[in-house]
This record gives sequence, structure tokens and C-alpha cells, in this order.
Amino acid sequence: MEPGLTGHGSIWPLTIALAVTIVLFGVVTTLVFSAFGLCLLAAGIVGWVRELSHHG
Amino acid sequence: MIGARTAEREHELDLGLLRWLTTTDHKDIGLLYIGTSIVFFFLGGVESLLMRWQLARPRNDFLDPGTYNALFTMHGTTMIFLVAMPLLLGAANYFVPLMIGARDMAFPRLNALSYWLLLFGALLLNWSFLAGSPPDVGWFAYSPLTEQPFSLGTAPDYWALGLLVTGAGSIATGLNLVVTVVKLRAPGMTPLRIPVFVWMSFITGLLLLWALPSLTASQVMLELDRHLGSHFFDPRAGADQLLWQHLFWFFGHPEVYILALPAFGMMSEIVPVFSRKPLFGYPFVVASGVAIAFLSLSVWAHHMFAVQMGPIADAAFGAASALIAVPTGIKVLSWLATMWGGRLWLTPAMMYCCAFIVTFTMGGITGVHFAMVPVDLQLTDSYYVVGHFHYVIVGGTIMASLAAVYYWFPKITGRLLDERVGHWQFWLTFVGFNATFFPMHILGLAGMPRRVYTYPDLPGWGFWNAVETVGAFGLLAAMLLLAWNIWRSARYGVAAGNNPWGGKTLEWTTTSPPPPHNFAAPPVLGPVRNGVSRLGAISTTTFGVLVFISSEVFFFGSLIAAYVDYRTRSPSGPGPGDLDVGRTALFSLALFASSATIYLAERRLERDDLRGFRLWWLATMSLGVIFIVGQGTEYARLYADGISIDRNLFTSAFFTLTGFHGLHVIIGLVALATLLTTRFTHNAARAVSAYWHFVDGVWVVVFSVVYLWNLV
Repeated sequence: MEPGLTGHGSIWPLTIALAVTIVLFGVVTTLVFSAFGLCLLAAGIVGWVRELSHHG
Repeated sequence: MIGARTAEREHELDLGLLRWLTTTDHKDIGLLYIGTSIVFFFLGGVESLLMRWQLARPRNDFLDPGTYNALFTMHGTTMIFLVAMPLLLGAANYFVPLMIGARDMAFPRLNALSYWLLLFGALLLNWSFLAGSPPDVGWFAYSPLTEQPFSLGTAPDYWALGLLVTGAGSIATGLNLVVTVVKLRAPGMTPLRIPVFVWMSFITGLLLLWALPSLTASQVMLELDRHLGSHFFDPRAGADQLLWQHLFWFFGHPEVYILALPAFGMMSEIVPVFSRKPLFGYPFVVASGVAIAFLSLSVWAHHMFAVQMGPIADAAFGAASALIAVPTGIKVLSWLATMWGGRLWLTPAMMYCCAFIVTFTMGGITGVHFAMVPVDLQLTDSYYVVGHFHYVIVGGTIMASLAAVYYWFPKITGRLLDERVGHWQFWLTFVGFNATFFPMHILGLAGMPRRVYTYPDLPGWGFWNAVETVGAFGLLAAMLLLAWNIWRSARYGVAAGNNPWGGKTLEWTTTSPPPPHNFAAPPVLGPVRNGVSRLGAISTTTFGVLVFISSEVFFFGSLIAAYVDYRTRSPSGPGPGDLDVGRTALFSLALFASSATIYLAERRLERDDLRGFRLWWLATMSLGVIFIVGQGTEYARLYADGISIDRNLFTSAFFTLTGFHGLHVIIGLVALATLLTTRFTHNAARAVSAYWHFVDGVWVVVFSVVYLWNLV
């Protein structure tokens, strides 16, 4: 199991999944969505890594 | 035990919606999967009822042809990807950790990511209805129907991209299942003590990892065709019209077993409990599951007999397809032998198990018919096919899942489902199911084609279609009755206690519902061995990366197969001779050298020489950057010469293959940099190192196939 995670929730999985979906939604509609999705994806990855680092 | 909620659990429950949005608990995620599956089950069910209403009588005009096309596409896609898979993955999520005595899945956050990818992918797919562009190309979306000239709207995009997202989630779930079963079993749970459901979930995880990447790769190629002008499936550019079919069915046939194997596992848990006997031939049941998994990866082309692959290919795939009936038959034999001489307890769960044996066996036997090429050629694209796969998927997966609902509901809620209602619901389901799907065989043999929105008034056609429609509404009534039973029993049902059925597996040793940490004390099944096995020495994180790499091999395998197919297939335009082998060899050397530097970095880390580690780690990053810059300049040179992805088949395959490898290098560089700038563990460094070696290894193959082959 990922160390230190027991009992901790995390918003970053939802954020990253939403971001990936928005990126691809932009492919079907307008690339503005893709750009926003990429920003959200970057934020999600940073948040996940920081959380992982924080919990050891 | 009802009311046994701890203060910790009460606190978690108090968080309400936020808890569900942020949960990483495998039980919550399992319930989210199952709940999502139920919602989409009713959506897919409504789609099927609309189709059945249209087909209830000949020459009906309730639906127009376009709407009918969209409905059968979305019905198939929904039921397979958004109902059956999440239902089974939800059950695996909830029960695998409990059955092996673990606290949670190996990677809880990745587990949550998998679920959210499924949900958002499903929403993207279904957004197409609101956008007025639902997919209408069939659930296997054959090319070239999906190419721009034939599908000008966005319907194939919603199909491909929605499933791309859900597929990524499923691959991650497969990884989590495999790592969880290998690394987190209770002490003493040796391979032959692992519950069959856990074994089957493990094998399903491997199939998800190895079969789904070919679908992912083909969806990527389709989207590149539609948006960047590549030609993977473009007949005007000379594309291989069987490429899509090969890639799709390499995923598509194992998918049948991705849906069936967990159902087999459920059967193997439930039948012994209600026969009050141990499972007959446990080792054979497990071994047959392994055999099914490997055979399922080698029979994909039996879906393609009608395309004239030639007698040798037909014979090989036909024989392999027939062979797969043997391990499947072993399982059926095991369940029957378990029941034989047992003291049968005919609860609704056991009734569904009995129904499963009848309906799934029938689906299996009609499947063997399709392994015989002459029979297949007569029956392909007829209603016989529709009847066959509904007996396999509904008669198999759904029947077993319904058995599992009655069996495990008490563990999840602490209450029993109403048994009397359960028996009514069972018979309604069984009769409704057979009324809906059995006549399809008769209609198929009579020549009725599938995927027609209406049909002529030929003898018997109207009658049997009307019977099917009545049966479908019977199934609806059965499912509504189940929903009511679940709702009512969850509130007012009889208290179940911890182990109402006398189950022998570990989930029955904890409270109902289980506490947040699953067990008051971690279960121990046998003595803890001294010393560490070779597998045990690998950290969970590194093992997870290795499992992921095994999946990546299949993704790159698909891209490489496409490249080999298209390398010299273009009638005109650029070809392999336009590549600069010498120049690419130079920057390839940098990438190959980086495997040595990262190895040296690891060695320094083992000696706690952090300075030396950082130096070699930075050297690895520098070599990776040199490679990427080199590849960038190679692309720039090609573009300057007018060679871009949209030129012909060769450029489509070349840029996609090398581009995806480059993307993997960039991801590796980000991982390397992240590790260097954050607090990290030795295990994390080893995991990143394993990924980097893989990226290098792939380039050895890609460089050989794309560049060195030109020198031969």
C-alpha cells in the first residue's frame, strides 16, 4: 500500500480524472477546453506529488 | 454487526459528499463502481427497450434508422464498458482486499483515480446525446465507417475518447488488482489457499493490462486520422482494412473473459457455500482460469472469419477457439460436482448459480458453433450472434453478479435481502431472460440479420420478435423488483450477523459491514516465513511499475505492428529511406548510455552516497534531454523537407510510434526531476529507474525496426 495513506482521502484523483476528460472534451469541441484541462492536470499532478511527499 | 460503526466510521460518514469525492477506501470505491454500474444499467436498459419496442412488429416506424443505429451502438458500449466491467471491478474492489486479509488496495489513490476516470469517461461518452451526436458506428466501430468521409460529425470522437478515458481507468484497476493480490496477502495465504474469486480477479487484472492497450492504441490512431490527417484506416491511402479489426478484437475477445472470469470466481465462492461442500477440484478451477486467460489472447481472429483470412489462419483460430471450451468446461464440471451429493440450500443466490450453469453453458456451446468456420460464415451478422453473446454476457456475467448481490449484500449492509421477493425476482429474471434471448437463435437460423431497424413480415419473424419484446419488459420488471428489494432491505431487512451463510473466506470473519480498517487484527493464516523471497524483495511501488511496463509492452506492440504493416505499404511519398540513420544513432547513444548512468545512481543511493546519486541522476536527465532535443531536430528536418504525419501510411506510423516513445521519455524526465526536487524514498527511486530502463529498452526495439532495418 502507498505509505502513510491509510485513512487519508484525496481530492487529486478526481481532479486529474476530470482534467484528462476536459482535455479530450476539448479535442471534440474547442481547444480552449483542452488548454484549461492541461492547466488543471498540471495542478492535479503537483497536488498529488506534494501530498505523496507530505505523507512520506 | 449492525450498529457496530466505530467513532472513526461515524466521523467519515459525517463528511457526506466530500467523503465520497475524496475517498480512497476500497470499499467506498467498490460501492461507487457498483452504484455507477446500476445507473448505467438502467440507461442501457432503456436503450434496449426502445429498440425492442421498435422491433416488436414488422415494418414498425417507432424509431428512424439513424436513431436505431445510435441506440444499438450506445446500448452495446454502455452495457459492456459502463455496466458489466464496473460491476465486476466494483465487486473485486470491495472484496479482494477483504478476502486476502488486506487493509486496502495496494495503491488507494490510483484506485480512486481509476473510478473517476470511469465516471468521467462515461459522462463524456453520454454527453454525445446532449451534443446531438451519439455514436452510431456499432460497439466495435469498424473502420473505415469511423473515418472522416463517412462520419463527418463528432460521434466517433465521443466513442473513441470516452472509452479512451474509461480504458485508462480499467488498466489502472488491473494493475492495482495484480499488485494487491501479489503483495498484500495475509501471512500464510499461499497460492493454493487464495480464494477462487481472488484468483479470477488477479487473472482479470492481467487481461485488462494486456488486452486493453491494443484498443487504446487503435483509438489513438483513429483520433489521429480524424484530427491530424494521418491515414491508419484510410482506404484512399491504401490502409490495411483489417488493421482495426485485428487491434480491436485482440482486445475484444479477452474482454469476454474479463467479464466472465470474475463471474466464474463468484460462482466458485457461492456454489460450495450453498452446497455445504468444498469446491470440487480447486487446483483445476484455478489452472483452467489461467488457461482461459492465455488462450483468450490467441483467438481474436475468430471474429473475422468472414473477411477471408485464408484457410491456415481460419483453421488455427478455429481450433484455438474450440480449445478454449475445454478449460471452461472444467469449471462447469467442478460446480456440478460440487453440487452433486451436497446438501443444497436453494437461496436466491444459489438459484442464480443454477441458472448461470444453464444459460452460460448454452452461450458457451453456441460459441463453439462460431469456432467452426463454415457455420460461422452462415451465421455471422445474424441474430444467432446476438443470442449467443447475450447468453454469455447476461446469462453469465449478470446471472453470477445477481447471485453475488444476494450473497454479499449482508456483508456490505449488515442486513439480508428479502428472500421471498428474491425468489419471485429470480423466476421473473430467468423467464424474462430466456423469452428475450432464446428466440434470437431461431430468428438467426431463419436468416434475420442483426442491426436492422425493421424487418419484413416473414413467417414467424413478427411472432418471435414480439415474444422477445415481452421478455425484455419482463426483465425490466425483474430489475425494478430487485432495486425495490435492495432499497427496502437496506433499511428494514433482517439483521444478518457477521456470517449468515457459513462462508469460509476471510470477509466473513469481520463485521458486517466491515470497519474502515477491515479487520480488528490483521488475519494470519499460517506461519510467517523467515527470509524474503525474490518477489518479496521488490517494493510494492517498483512491482507496480513493472506490472505497468508489462501493459506498455502491448501498447507499443500495437504501434510497432502498425508500423511494420505500413512501413513500405504506401504507393508513393516518403518512406524509410528518408530517415537519417546515422544522426539518429548518435542521439540514441545518449539514451542508451542513460541506462548505465541511472544504474550508477541507484548504486550510489544504496551506499547512501546522496551526492553521487544526484550527480548520476542529473547525468541521466541530461542524456534524456539530449535524446529529446535530437529527436526534435530530426522532426524539424523532416518537416522542412515536407514530411509530416499526414503524408502517407509510412509517415502516419513513423510519427505516431516515435512520437509516443518521445512522450514517454518526457514523462520519464518529469519523474526524474520530481524525484530530485522532493523528499523521496529509495523505493521511489528504484521505481523511476525501472521505468527509465523500459523507455530505453523500447527505443532499442523501435530504433532497430524503424532505422536499422533500412540498412539490411
